[in-house]
Amino acid sequence: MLFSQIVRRSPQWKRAVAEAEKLVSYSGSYLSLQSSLSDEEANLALSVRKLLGTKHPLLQTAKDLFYNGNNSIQTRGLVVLLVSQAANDLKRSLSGSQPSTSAGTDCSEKILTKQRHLAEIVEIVYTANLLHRGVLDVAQMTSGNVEKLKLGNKLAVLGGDFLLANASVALANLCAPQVTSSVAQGIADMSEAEFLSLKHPDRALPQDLWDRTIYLQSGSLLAHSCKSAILLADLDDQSLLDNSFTIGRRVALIYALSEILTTNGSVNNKRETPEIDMSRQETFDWLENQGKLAIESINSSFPSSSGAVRSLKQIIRALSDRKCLV
Amino acid sequence: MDFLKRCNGSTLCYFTKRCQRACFSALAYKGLLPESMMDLAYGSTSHTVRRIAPQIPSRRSCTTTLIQEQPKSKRELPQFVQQHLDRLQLEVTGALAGTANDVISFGVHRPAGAVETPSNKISFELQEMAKYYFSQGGKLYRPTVALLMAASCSHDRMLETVSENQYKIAVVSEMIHTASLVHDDVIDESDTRRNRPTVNALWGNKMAVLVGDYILAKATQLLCSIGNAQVVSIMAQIIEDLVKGEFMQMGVRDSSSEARFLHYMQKTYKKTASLFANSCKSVAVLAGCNENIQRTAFEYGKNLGMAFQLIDDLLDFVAQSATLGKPAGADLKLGLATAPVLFAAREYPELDRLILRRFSESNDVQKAWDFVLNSDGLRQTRQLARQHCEEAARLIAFLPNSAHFGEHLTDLAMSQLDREH
Repeated sequence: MLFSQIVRRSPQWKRAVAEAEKLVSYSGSYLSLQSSLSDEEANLALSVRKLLGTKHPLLQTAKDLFYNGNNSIQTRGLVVLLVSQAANDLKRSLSGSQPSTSAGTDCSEKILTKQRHLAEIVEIVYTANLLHRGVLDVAQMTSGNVEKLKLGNKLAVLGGDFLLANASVALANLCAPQVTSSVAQGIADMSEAEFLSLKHPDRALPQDLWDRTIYLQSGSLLAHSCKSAILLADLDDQSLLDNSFTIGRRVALIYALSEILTTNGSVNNKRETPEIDMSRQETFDWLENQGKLAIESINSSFPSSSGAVRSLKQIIRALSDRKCLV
Repeated sequence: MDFLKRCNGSTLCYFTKRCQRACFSALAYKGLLPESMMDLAYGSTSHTVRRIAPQIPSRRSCTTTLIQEQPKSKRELPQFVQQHLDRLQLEVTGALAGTANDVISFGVHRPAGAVETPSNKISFELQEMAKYYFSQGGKLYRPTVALLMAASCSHDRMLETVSENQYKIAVVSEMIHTASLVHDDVIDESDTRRNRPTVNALWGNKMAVLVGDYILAKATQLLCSIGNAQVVSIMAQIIEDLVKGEFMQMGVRDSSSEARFLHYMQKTYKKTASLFANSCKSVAVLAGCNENIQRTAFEYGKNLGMAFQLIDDLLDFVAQSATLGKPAGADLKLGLATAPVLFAAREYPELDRLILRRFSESNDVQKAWDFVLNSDGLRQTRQLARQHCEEAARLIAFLPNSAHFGEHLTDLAMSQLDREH
């Protein structure tokens, strides 16, 4: 899955991500919101071991999450944190004080607790969706121990539900109904994404359908979360909100395009990113263009002196600059 | 003399022809008696009774309660409640299909031009699946409770007031319930519900799970459009409780019968009663009631929900499959030890082993079934349900507008005991 793709990421990418993580004091784990697992829930986590030897998607997902970390999920959390920090910097510059530039300053001031929670919620929701997309249909349970595969399904559904429930409660506790509603739209769109690819189960998708699928699958949630980060910073200028939405959307698109390209167009795991029916050259061009547009969007709204803004632009360049792609 | 196992929701036994006639009358009234047997309602013959009598229970499971000659007349819901229920079904199916309407618009601002893709129409299959349960004409029980509670909490004693926000709570409660049903059917691998195929039977497991997520997300949006953070928190608690309840159901503890019973009651609260309780509390909050009234509303919903589930668990043993819409004895087959079983285990300790291994060995289900029917478990379950119904009914008096609507809430509570499905 993505484990193999991590290895192929360019040095620029790794550097950009490492710097960003330092800037936002990213702990890399969302488990802090789930600090108390009851007996039953812990048992469930251990039950995943029973799936060893089966080809249930849940097993692979669990391995990726707990042993390798899931790169794409963490990147999205990171982006939300960067946008949050950029928003806070903007707010400060609007009220006259200096934006925070160095990683040395006390990081906890630069991002609000609510925004951190938002980033964690986003990661939890992506993970839940990943689990739910790994549920097997009866027709697919052809090989292997059917009883174990059925158990895998139960664990996948319950596990995803558990995460979504945690996310819902955490969202409610943000006490910002507009944010909750936005994130819920992202969740609804993620559920819908799978229905689009029903029409083309094994073939590469035409560009417009691919674009919409990626938007629904990952762009929508990231876009709505970036917008929500702005709202949580107490900024409500409509063009700023629209712009943040667009930034989130473009970053998700850029990420998906770069995934397609770094694995030479053949994605092992169809669950993550569908194939696109475009030539490699055309895909490169599109990616580069999106990268430029994304950076323009950032520049038009956020102060360039902000460390978070610089970091975000670096990540985008690492993903979309032709020279950086392996 | 022959016994009829059940009629009208209670376990009965008939010693006289008069009783048999009464029973057949009731069956005929409810449309459960085939044409050819209509004359039984007016005069029975013993050999016909023997032919149609289902499995004969032992003497111990019978009570000597006679059913009434005429079935109880059901009090009609207030008109404004019925109107809300009628529009609810229509509006929800419309909203899930993406067509905006007045109340249920989900209120999300989609930035202009941000999505540069051809069509924003929600895919057809998703619409069909999402609407599936809502267009089946379900009982809408949860919205009914929420609406009646809303009316009972109103401080405007003369007006029939259910605010739009309270109506939204009713809708949200039904949507959350439906989403959980969709997921439950996948987890339980059920093929039928309400005598129809389940979503997963028709469209597959994965799609069913995603549709459940979709419905839940839409419910969350509707909830947020109320704009009250406290209510959002209260209702979000339901979602967490539902999942925790499902987890609790998966585990069986090797502990005392008391601990097991407590576990069952806690699971029942989380899986069923929490939704009623928190919906009632939410409408009370929206009505501007103080904390005491909110707590009263919560407790009413909680007791109602507990009774509801206890009767459900009871019906799994006594009802016929057709009435239930799903196979009877389903709980045992899923390995679940519900109240009747737990009560029976006090009399028959042999049941403990079966409970612990979740009735997994062959013939366990049949053995457990026989134990339960030969024990006092069913009666005790009904008794416990009655206690909850009566507690709920007792609380109604403390609600602001109980003078006008209290009787409906009482009906809702007490009618649990008469349920057949």
